[in-house]
Amino acid sequence: MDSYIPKEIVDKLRSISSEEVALMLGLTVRNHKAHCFMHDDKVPSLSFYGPNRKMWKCFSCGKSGNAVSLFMEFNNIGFVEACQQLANQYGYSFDVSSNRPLSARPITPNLINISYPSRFKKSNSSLITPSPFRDDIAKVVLQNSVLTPTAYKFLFDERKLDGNLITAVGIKSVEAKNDLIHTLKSNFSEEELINNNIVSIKNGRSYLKFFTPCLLIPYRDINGSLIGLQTRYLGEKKDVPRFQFLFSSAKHLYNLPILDKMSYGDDLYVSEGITDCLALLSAGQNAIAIPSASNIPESELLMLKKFKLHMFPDNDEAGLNAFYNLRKILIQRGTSIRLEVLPNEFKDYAEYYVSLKANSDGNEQSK
Amino acid sequence: MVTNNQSNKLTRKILCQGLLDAIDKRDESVYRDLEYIRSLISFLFEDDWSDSGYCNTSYDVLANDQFLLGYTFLLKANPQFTYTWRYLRQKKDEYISFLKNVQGYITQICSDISEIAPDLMKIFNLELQEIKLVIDDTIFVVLKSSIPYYEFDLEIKNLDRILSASSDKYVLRVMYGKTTVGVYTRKDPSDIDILVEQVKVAQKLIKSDNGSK
Repeated sequence: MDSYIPKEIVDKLRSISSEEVALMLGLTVRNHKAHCFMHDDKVPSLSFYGPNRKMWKCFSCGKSGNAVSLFMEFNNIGFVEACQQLANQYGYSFDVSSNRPLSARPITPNLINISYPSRFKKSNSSLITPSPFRDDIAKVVLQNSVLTPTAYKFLFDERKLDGNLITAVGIKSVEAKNDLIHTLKSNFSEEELINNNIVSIKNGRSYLKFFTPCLLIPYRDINGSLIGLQTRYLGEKKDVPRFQFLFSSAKHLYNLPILDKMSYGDDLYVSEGITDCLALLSAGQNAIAIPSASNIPESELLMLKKFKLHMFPDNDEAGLNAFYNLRKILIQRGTSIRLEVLPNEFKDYAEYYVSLKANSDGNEQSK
Repeated sequence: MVTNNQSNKLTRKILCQGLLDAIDKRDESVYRDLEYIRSLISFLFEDDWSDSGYCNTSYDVLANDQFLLGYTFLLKANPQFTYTWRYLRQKKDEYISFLKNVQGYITQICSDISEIAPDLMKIFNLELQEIKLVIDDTIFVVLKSSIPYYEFDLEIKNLDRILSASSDKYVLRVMYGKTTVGVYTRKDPSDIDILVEQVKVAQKLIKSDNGSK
């Protein structure tokens, strides 16, 4: 039976930025141009253009197309295979053998070994061959985790977040890593855990591939199905990344289920990062988050078009630039986002919220 | 909120973000086509066209764009449209010239404002009323003594004037409160000095007028 790619998935893939896919494939893109990989290219002839730079064209060899065709040409594979691999990369799940799109069921993609020309290889190979998201493993991780005292201290003492909200969004934490490794090994084979970048083996011992102690932050799609898992390091080490995505580098907006409860024209705050988003939600606002300024799930932004968008950027040049960048992407999609300004003394909304909360708690106590 | 920590030099990016901020303050339900105006401003003002490689590639893409060629054919096929396909293809080429002119226009505006802003602020010593620069009755720039050095507004109904824009053909008015204190039609670089002299004279007149009251 021929494999079938649902039309909505194909449409989504065709709307992905070709320039972004080129970067992912390891091409060096400068000023929206790259050296064409389809012939010996002395000067950059491969141009990315159109809204979101979703189209490409080589002015030397004349070939052109969209993100899917770029992926096909680069890997010398067919349309269906290219769609499957790109869908995995971007976290779009579907059933390859039926006409029914599946958002909740995990897919086991038939990943093809891609051989990349040496000049295109990047040191970060995880961008090229990502492990697909395995919600069955993620569920076991979440089900066997609780909120540890370190997480309590961070979420409620330091950040003053709303306890009901943390329960509702299902945030957990990991401290005793050996217990979690043991549980994972009793549910999945060692090979599965290693292949999915959850566990590594060194000198015969198993280690988690993320730093602990940490929060576990589940990402869900608009229907509430698990689509991603991010950690937030809570320890003292300075040289470890604060945030890590498990399994896959796929991009998603955080807190998508809130969109299902909102109506046309409602105010929606977009934050850069999870902690500001949790603070906005605790303050009673509708909020979602982009994982970071350099990790914007552009295709999912289309879902925000019917809402009135606002953003409190971080109070520095980088924060403002992140806002302008996001606004540019939204403008290309026919919407915009309104700039909200924090008082000067606060570096981000989370800090501002802590101050607001401290003031309101103080006022209640004085009553 | 547009900041520039380094200096009060007006850049293309600051101008673009300021105009988009101004558009975002407008009520979507009152203004038609606001989302398209936003997109147009972002397209014309924001992209860095100063890189000649990028610029030339973009023009090449446009000149050879099959989508656009197909679109001209569709328009020509409309029986209500009485011009030929050739006319539309020529218009497409003129459009490339238009884009080049707009790039020159924006670069020149930013350069001229950056040059005269310190002089104007010195002349008026930032007295109570604001100094406003009005470009082609379309772009409004209010000068500030501290960050953000500029605030912007846009007269949407006059946006068509950008169609005839070029780097050596625009009118800049300097306003002090509600009074126009200098008008400058760009012809050659010496004009900018004449404008500053005009403003100096006007400022003296205003001051003596206020003194006599």
